[in-house]
Amino acid sequence: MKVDLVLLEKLCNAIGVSGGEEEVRELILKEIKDHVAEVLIDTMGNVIARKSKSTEGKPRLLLDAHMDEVGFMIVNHDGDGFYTFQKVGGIDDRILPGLKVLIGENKISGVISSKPIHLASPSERKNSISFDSLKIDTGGNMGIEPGTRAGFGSQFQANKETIFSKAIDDRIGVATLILLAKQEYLNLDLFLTFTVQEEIGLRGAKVTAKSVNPQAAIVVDATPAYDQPTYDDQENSFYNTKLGRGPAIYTLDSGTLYDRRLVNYFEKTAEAAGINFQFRQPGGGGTNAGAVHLANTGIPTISISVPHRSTHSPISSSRIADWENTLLLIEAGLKNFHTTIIN
Amino acid sequence: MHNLKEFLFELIDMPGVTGFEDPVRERINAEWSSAGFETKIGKTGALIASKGIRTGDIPRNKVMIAAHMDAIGMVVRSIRGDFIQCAKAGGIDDRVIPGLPVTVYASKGREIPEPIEGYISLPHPKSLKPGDEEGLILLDRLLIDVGLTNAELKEKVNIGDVVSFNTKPFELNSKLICGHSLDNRASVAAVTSFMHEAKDIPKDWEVYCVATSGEEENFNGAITATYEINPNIAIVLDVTFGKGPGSSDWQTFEVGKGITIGFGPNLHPKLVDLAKKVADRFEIPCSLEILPTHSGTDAYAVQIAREGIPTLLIEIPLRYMHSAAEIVSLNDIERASRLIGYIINSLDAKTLEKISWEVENEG
Amino acid sequence: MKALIKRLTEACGPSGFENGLRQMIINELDGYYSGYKVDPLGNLVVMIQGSLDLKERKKVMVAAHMDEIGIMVTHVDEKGFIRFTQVGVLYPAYLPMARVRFSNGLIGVVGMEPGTKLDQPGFDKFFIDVGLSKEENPIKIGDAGCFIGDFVDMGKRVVAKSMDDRISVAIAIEAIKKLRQPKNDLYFVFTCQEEVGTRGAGTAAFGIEPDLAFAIDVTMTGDTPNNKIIDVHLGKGPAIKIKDFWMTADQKIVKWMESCAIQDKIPYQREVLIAGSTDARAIQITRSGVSSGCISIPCRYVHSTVEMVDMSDVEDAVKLIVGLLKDEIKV
Repeated sequence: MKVDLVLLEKLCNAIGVSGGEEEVRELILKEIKDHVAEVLIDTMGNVIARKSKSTEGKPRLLLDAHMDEVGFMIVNHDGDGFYTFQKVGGIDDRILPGLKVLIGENKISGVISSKPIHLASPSERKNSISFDSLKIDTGGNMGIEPGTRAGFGSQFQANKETIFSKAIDDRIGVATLILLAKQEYLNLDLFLTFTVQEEIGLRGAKVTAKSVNPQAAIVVDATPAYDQPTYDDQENSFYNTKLGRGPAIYTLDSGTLYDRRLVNYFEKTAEAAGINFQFRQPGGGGTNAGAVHLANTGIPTISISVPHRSTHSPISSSRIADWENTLLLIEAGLKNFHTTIIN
Repeated sequence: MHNLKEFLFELIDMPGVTGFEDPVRERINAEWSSAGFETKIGKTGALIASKGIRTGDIPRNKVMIAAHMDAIGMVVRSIRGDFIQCAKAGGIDDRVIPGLPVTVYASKGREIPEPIEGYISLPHPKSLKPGDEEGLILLDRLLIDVGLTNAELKEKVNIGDVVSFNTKPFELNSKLICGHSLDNRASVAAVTSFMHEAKDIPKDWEVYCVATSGEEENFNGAITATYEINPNIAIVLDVTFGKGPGSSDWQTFEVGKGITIGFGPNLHPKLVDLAKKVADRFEIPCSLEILPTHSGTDAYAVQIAREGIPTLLIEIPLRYMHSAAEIVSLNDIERASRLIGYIINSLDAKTLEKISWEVENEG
Repeated sequence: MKALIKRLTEACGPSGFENGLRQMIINELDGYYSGYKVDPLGNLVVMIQGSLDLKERKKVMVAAHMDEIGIMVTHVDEKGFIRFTQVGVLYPAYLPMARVRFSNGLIGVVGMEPGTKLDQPGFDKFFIDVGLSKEENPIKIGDAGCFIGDFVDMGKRVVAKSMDDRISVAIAIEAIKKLRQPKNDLYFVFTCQEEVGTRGAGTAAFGIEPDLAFAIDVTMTGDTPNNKIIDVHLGKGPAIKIKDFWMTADQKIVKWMESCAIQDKIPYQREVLIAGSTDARAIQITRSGVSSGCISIPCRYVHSTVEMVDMSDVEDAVKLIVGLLKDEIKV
C-alpha cells in the first residue's frame, strides 16, 4: 500500500467544521463509491460503507475515522463586516490573533483581528489576548448569516518527508480508510464509518457503532506529538508520541481502556512485518473509541493513530513515513484477522 | 387551551424535583389523558403519551415531542441541630438562594410526604468557616429552618426527602408570569396546549408526547423514553435566555417577542429549515438561536439515541434562569404551542425523504 | 468471611486487567450457579435460575465491580524511574510512599519530586522506584499495577486496599451461596471497568435486559474528625442509596429495600452522596430504562490503601440481599 498525497491534500484543504462536514463527505463518497458494495448516510450525516455484501459468517469489523475538524461559528454581525464568533472544538486562544479563516460555502476570506500592541495598556501587554476581544474581520458586510461555519484558511504543503497542513486530525484517518477501502479482504465483513462531530463529543460514533454492531473495531485518528526539548533540557517524559517512530497504538486514554487482546495482536503484527511502531503514552485525550467500545453489549476496540505536532492549529506536521507505516500496519492487521483473537 | 394560565400556575406551584417527579407527573398525566392521549410511565419516570396508534395498519412514522417536567431543587442530606442540610438536585445557583422560602416534603413513616414550609436561613458570619464570611456561601453551608426542634425533625424528616422552592407564582403586567420552575414547566404547558388543540393527527404519523424526567441532572428520561419510542423525528421544547440586566448578547432573546429555533450540530439542519418555513408561513415570530456545539437540553441525549434521531429544538425565552423568580411570557408559550401544531400538520409521507442527507448526494 | 475478603482484596486487578479476579470469583462460586459467561468487555455474568414459572419470573441484575484503581506506566526514564498515570481516580494526597505491585510481580514505591503539592491534580511530579536501572528494568509503557495494602483484621472492623469494591464482591459471593433456590432469575454481574466510568455495567445490562437491578458498592462515611460530608456511619448498617452525583435511585427500589430491612430487623441507613456514583447509574439508562438502586457499604478512607469497613455492616448487607432476593419480588 502506498500513501497518496494528492488525496490527502484534497481532504485536508476541504473545510468541515463539526456539524458542517458536507464538503468532506462529498469527497469521500466520490472516492469510495466504486470500491464498496453499500454506502448510506445516516440521520446525523455519518457515512457508513460496507465493503462487500457476501459475508457468510465472516467476522464483522469496523474501521472509523472522523470527518470533522475544529473551527469556528459566526454568532453575530457587529456591523461593517466585523463578526463575533465562537470556537467549535478545542482551540488554544493564543493561536487566534491574525489567523486567516475561510467562511461558509463560498469560503469568504476573513482574518481574526485584535487590538495592536501599540495601543494596548501595560497590563494588557502582560497577558495573552482575551478571547472576548477577538472579532473576525471580512473587510465589509459580506452578508454572512449567524450560524455560518468558518475553518482555518491555511493550505496543505509537503516536502520529501513531512506534511504541513491543517486538519491532519483526522483527514489522515479519512485518507487511510479510503486507501484501505480500495483493497480486498476475503476474511472479513468490513464496515468503514466516516463520522461527524468527533471534536465536540464523539457524537457521530456514538450512533454508528450501534448501527453497525461489529465484533471488533479499529479507530484511526491523529494523535499529538509533544516531542520537543524542555526549557531546561531535562528528559522529556510527557511526549505522548514522537514523530518518526511510526503509528501509535493506544493502551489507555481518558475515554477507553483498550482491549489488550487487540493491543497484543497489533504489536505482534507490527513486529512480524517489521513495521516501525510506538505506544502512545497512556493518559488524557481520547478518540471515537470512547464511544464505539461502549455500544450495545460492548465492542473490543483499538485505536491506531498517526503522530502530529501542533494539534488543533492552522499548521500541524506529520512524517509521511509514519503515515505509510500506519497504512501497512492496519492493512496487515485486517488481512490476518480472525475471531480467535478476541475469542 | 382556555385554561393555559391556570394550568401553568398549578404546575409551578407543585414539586417535581429532578429525580423525584411523581407529584408533577400525576398532574400532567391527568391533563394529558383529558386531552385524549393514552399515557404510560417510562422506567425512569418519564410520562409517555400517544395518539394515533393503530395496530394492524401499515406501520407509520413516529414524531416525539419532549419537554422536561423536572425542576431543580434540593434533597435532605442530614439533620444538624434544629436545621436541615441539603444537597443539590440539578444546577442550583448558590448565589440566589439565601433567604428563599422552601417546602420540605417530610416522608418518615408516611406513605404520602407531609409538606412542611420553611426557609433557607442566611447564617451568621461567625458560624461559617473563616474566609467564607464574605461573598458566596455554598449550599453546603446553608441550613434550612422549618421551625421544628431536632427531635421533631428526626421524627418526621428522612434523609433523601425532597425540598423545593416555595416562592408563589404571580403575574407581572401584560401576560408575564413570574415563579420558580418555569424552566421547564412553561414548555410542558405549551405541549399540553398543543395536545388539547390537536384534533387530527396526520394520517401517516403517530404522535408521542413525553414529559421527560432527570433533564436537570442526567437526561435519564430523554435517553430512555427516546429508546422506547424510537421516533423518526423529535421536537424538544425547552427554555432559553431572556434579555435582561447583564444578559443582552447573541445568546439572549426578548421575552414576549417570539420564540427560537435552535441551530447547530445538535439539531438536524433540514428540520430547522422545515420549522423556519412553517413559522414564516403562519407568521409566528421566531428567531434562529445559534448553538455552536451542544444545546444543553434533552436534544443532546435525543439526537444520539438508537441509531440517531433527527432533532429539532424550540425554545421559549425566560429571564433569570434557575432562580426562584423566573419570568416568561404567556404569549410565547402560546406561540410555541401553535408552532408545534403547524409543524405536526405539515408532516406527510414524504417528510423523511425530504430531510434525508442522501438527497444531496445523487449518484 | 474474613478469609474470603482477604483473598479478594489482596488480588491485583486494576480496571482493564480483571482476569485474575474473574478466575478467582468463578472458582469460589463453583457449584452455586446455573451458568456463567464472560461478555465482550470482560464482565463476568453469573446466572442462577429461578423456580417460578417463566411468565412470573423476574430478571434481577446485581452488580459488584471486580476492578480496583491502579496505575499505568507512561515512561521509564534514563535512570530507571517510572512515570505513570491513573487508572480510575487517584488522590495525589494518598500517593506518597505508597507501594505498587506490577502484573509481573515486581514491587515499587511511589516517590515524588521535592516541592510537590498534594492538593493539585496531576501526577507529573510522582514516580515509581523499583530500585533498578533503565537497562535492568523490565517494566514498559502500558504496563499496569495496583497498590499494596495488606488485609488487617481489627475484630469488628477490617482494613485493606480495594475494599472498593472487593467487599461487595465478597458480599455477593456470600449471598449467592445462601440463595439456594431463588424464585426469580438472578444475574450477578461482576463488572469490569467501573472505576474508569462505570463502563462494564451498561453494556452488561444491555445484554441481560433485567426487570430491575441494584449495585453493591462502597460509600463514604461522615464519622471521622471534622468530616460532615455524609450522614452515614460505620456500624449503623448497610446504606440504601437515595441519590448520588449522577443518579437518583428508583423510589420503588428504595421502598422495597427499606421494607425488607424493617421486616427482617436489619439495621440500615439512608444515603445521599454529593460526589461519585456507581454501576447503578449506567444500568438505569440502558435501553428503555431499568428500575435501579444501590446498597452501599459504609467505608472510611475510600480510594486509599487502608479502606475500612465494619463487619456487622457487611454481614447485614448479605442478610439484606438474601432477604430481598430469596422470595417473590413485589416492586
